[in-house]
Amino acid sequence: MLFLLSLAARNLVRNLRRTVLTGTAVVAGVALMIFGWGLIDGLDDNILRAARLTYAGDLVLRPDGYPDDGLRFPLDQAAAVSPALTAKLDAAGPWTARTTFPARLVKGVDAQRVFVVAYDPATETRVFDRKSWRLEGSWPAADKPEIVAGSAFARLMELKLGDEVVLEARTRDGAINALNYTVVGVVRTDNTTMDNLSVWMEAPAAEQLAVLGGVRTQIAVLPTATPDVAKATLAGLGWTPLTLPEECDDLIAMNRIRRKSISVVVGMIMLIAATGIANTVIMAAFERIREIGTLLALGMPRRDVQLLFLLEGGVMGLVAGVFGAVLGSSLVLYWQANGMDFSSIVEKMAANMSMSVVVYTHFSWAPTLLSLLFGVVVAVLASVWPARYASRIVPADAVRAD
Amino acid sequence: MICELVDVTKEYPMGELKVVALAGVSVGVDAGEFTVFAGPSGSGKSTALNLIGCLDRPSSGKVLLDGKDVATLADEALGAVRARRIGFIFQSFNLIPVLTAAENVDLALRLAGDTENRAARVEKALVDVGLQDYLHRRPSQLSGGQQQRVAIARALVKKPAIIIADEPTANLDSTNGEAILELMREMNERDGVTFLFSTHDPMVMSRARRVVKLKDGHVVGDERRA
Amino acid sequence: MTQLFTLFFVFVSHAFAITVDEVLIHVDQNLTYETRESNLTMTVVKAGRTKSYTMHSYGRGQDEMAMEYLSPERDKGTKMLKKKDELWMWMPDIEKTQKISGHMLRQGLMGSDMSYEDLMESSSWRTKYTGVITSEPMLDGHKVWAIELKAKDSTVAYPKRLIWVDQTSFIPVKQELYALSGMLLKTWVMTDIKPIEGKQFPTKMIVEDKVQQGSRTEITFDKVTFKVALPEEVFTTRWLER
Repeated sequence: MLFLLSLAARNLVRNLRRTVLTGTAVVAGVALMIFGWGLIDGLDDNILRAARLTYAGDLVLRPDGYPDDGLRFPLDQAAAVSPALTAKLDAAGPWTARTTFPARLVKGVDAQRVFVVAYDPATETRVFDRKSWRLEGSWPAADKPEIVAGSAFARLMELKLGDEVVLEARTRDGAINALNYTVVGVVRTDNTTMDNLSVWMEAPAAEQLAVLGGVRTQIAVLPTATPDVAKATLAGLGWTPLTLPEECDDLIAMNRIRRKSISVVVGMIMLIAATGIANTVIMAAFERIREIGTLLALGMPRRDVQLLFLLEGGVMGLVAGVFGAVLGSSLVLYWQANGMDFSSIVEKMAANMSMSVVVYTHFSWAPTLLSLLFGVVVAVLASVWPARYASRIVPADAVRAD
Repeated sequence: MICELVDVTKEYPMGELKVVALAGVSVGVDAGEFTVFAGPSGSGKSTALNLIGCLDRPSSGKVLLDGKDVATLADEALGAVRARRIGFIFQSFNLIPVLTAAENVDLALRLAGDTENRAARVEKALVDVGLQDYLHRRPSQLSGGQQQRVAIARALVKKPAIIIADEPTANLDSTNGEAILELMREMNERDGVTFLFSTHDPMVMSRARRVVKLKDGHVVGDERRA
Repeated sequence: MTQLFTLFFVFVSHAFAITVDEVLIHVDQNLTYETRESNLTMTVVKAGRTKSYTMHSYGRGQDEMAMEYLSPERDKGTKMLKKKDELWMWMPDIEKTQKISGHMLRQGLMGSDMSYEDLMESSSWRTKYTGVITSEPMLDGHKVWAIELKAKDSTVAYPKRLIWVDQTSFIPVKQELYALSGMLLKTWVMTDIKPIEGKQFPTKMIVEDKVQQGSRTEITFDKVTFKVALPEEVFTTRWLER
């Protein structure tokens, strides 16, 4: 067996150019598989991270019956945070409440629909450390008519620091109100949707604009216990708690579809690789008919000849698979450390994704080893037929072949 | 008698027709012979050699090797017989290109399942054919004559009952061909190794001590010389 | 836009000393007509860009209105139906009748300065506002009542309106609409008053957004006729899908 392995390896080196060309498809397939999985896992992380760092914490509560699609923020379904809920929240861990409501922002001749995110300056940073956000300018000063614009929204409206704008919004009761504001900051958060559609102001300023009467639309909690435990204690007080995975399940489900489409692409590359390997091994068999005949004449059992060719495919698959695994893992590890910045693409597409424009890929061993194994298995399977062909050669004729 | 064909017929199907390669041939080879099967192509000499070399089975008749009929052995068993008892020398040398001279010779012992003192025996076999300085060369680094010497060492190393040499000089120039033939003749005379050739090279035939002539699947002459 | 549906029966009245309520009743009574049919052109100007729409419209009484877009090509065939406080739209692209309700009513009609809600707010000044006559000045050579209307409660879209009602025709020739903060949001002007079938009818309305600079919407009425025979079907959702 060891001898056959060495013979197989030497035969592969013999036509190195062809071996490398064939192996490249396996390298690409395995690398893509690992990278694709790493990227999708990274996207999953990214979705959760975006929600955790920008609006949900580890547990998000909305008034019972409030829509959670993130596209509408009806003020008439907002609710006050009752003393009973406040007590429970205080016991659960750091928390903050926000009110998000629709408005129209007007700057000169331009107007655009926007969502106002009103935060409580006293508690906001207990839940959202804002460390990964990029703020140009400053956050609004207390009791001043100042706003911070989401980065993509600011770009759309060509908002600059110091710009005077009007925000027109409905009060909670339905009357139209409009007030002048100064743009004092532009922020890029971890959430593209918010950067596209939001302006930020302190809750007291929002109270003036929308006459909220203290109602809130979301509460974000960082529970000291597990989110599930906290969820149980906070339920039934007029607000519906959702853990982070529950909150993001629809986006995560979309990733499952993406994962399938990557598998299809990998499958196609592997099919190409398999065809290449089968072709290479069968070519090797055709070219070496006399050699195979000689081995048989010298008494090598047919199953050893078959094994020799299977090994040639398998060794190629293993070596190419290792290269592919190293390549794919390197990419995943690199972007796990440095993050892939999609901001320019996202800006071009004006895409609305509840996630950060910086995606950190996610390395794990299981998909890496699985991809490698997959490469080897494909290579061996592709060699089965050529190997069988080689082992059925008639030595009496083959030894005299040209 | 080391090997013997007894009333052997070999037919090959060729489409609807059957080509008769051997038609009732009986011929034997004794230990220590230096014999040539001669004849034009199509005479059946290669077929006869294949049968004696256990590379093929007859349509009818017996193939006796060491007194045992191998005509009815299964593929695997026939392979095992070849590995242990038959040495081959081919027209095109047929060395394994990725193996060195020594490894090529070693391969024969490995396949014969003959593991005792292998390295020394391999070296001795190569020294015997005059290649002591070329043990670790690959076939591509050797001349035709040198390659054929490796092939002879490979055939000899396992001490087979008979060495089948199929046109061993055909791909060599006359000087090299003669040297190779001289080497085999020497081994035959000194060590009593049995050689069976197929050839139409007159030089080979002149060196043979017995020439069996075949034509159209029949033995048409059997001439022994002193 | 309130008056879009309401202007087709216009009483010829005489000026006399009057209370706000009486003025509003008169304005209100202008809404009561049997049927009318007209073509209208809507021109929307936003950030220096102009878009025009032509429509064919039917009305009956105070509460029923049906409208079909004739141009541009993109919107041709779009239909709108209003019955009391309900609004439906039919879009040929999606071949579906859609009820416009809730927050959607707050959006501008075809990107204009009038929201669906503005269209819906028919003849409700008396119920929604309390008012005082602040003066009786001249406006474009006509004597008018200047009236300040204040919302009775916090659910009214425009907490304050200033309106100027022509003392001869009872047409509210000018309005100013204010936000809760007191910021002027819109002005609404009715001009080009022409006698049609013996009645004074403003054939042009100009709505300007005073927050968004240069944003204005003009509506011009054309081929206005009253007391036409309209098939019952016009004011049903069946008509939308026809």
